[in-house]
Amino acid sequence: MITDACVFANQDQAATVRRLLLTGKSCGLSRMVICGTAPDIPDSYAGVEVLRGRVVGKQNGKTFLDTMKKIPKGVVVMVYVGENSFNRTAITTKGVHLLTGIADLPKGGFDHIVAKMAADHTTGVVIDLSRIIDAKGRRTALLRYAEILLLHRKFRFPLVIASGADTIFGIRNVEETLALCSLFGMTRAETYAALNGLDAVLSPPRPVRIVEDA
Amino acid sequence: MRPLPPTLRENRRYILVKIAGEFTAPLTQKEIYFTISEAVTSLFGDVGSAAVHVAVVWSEDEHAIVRCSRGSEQKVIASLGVITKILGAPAVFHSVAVSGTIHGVKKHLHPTTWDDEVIAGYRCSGKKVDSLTGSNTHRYLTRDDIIKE
Repeated sequence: MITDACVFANQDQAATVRRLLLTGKSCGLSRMVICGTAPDIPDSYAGVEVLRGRVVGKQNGKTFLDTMKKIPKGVVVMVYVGENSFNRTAITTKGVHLLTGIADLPKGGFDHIVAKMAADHTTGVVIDLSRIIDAKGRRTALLRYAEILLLHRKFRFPLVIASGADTIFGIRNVEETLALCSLFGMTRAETYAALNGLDAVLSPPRPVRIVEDA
Repeated sequence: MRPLPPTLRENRRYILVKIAGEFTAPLTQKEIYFTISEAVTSLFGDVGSAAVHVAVVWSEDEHAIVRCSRGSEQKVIASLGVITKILGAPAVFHSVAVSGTIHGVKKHLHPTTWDDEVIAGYRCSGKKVDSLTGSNTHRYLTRDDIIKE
């Protein structure tokens, strides 16, 4: 399922949620994660499935855990990365699905140990296209994403692609996503895997259990 | 310089682009070219943009055909992806199709997309629709939103 892992929809913005979903449909998406305070979010529209998302900002340990407890089930939780120790806490916390804000990562914020932990806990890392589209932080973003890609190839933690759009002009179609991801060395196959990567995060593979003896 | 014989000419690719945005007047070919050229240069530099050899060969309403050298289609599509403004107004350039001929790319002009069901929020069936915010800014709605309101 081709997914946009983060679209912001707020109450006072120009486009309604349905309009964002319709644009997503025209861009070839089949699922979108909607974050924000917009009222009346449908479960699906124009054939695009909707998942609710929540971005948790940088916080200290106790506040972060309290915030996590308040989040209802069925919500895709994205945690804004910070220092190395916070990232480790975030990965090991139950209910955290994705790490976002990789482009703003402090030096040494995401090393090989955190990468291995992310792979073990099936925590995904978000590639935010809005940081590549924005000319201001493009160089840093491309560098960071290239580093993440190296770690992903070694440790195989899930990668997920998000547009980070808050208007209809921020959503990109699949072909553009492929081209933008090729800027930091992502292959076509890797990009498709990342576009479909949310499934692996939400329902990670588990060992086979015997539920009933024959 | 004399034109090269056909066997020595570089191979080209044509990309159909659909432009959406908040611009009021129709865009000229020159404006589209400058926007795309600027995006290619900002992303790949002067040397890269010279190799891409980008040009706008046709434009009509919200569509344009961009020409580039063969093998650099992905660079052009990436450059189209980073365009956020044209003439200071928010805009987006969606690549629709790539072909080796203008005729081939024009075949993709007519299929309707889901976006065609969308109407600008301030006008629906010739009538003005008040936006929820009450301001005169653009609002992007669907028919379902208008019926609901």
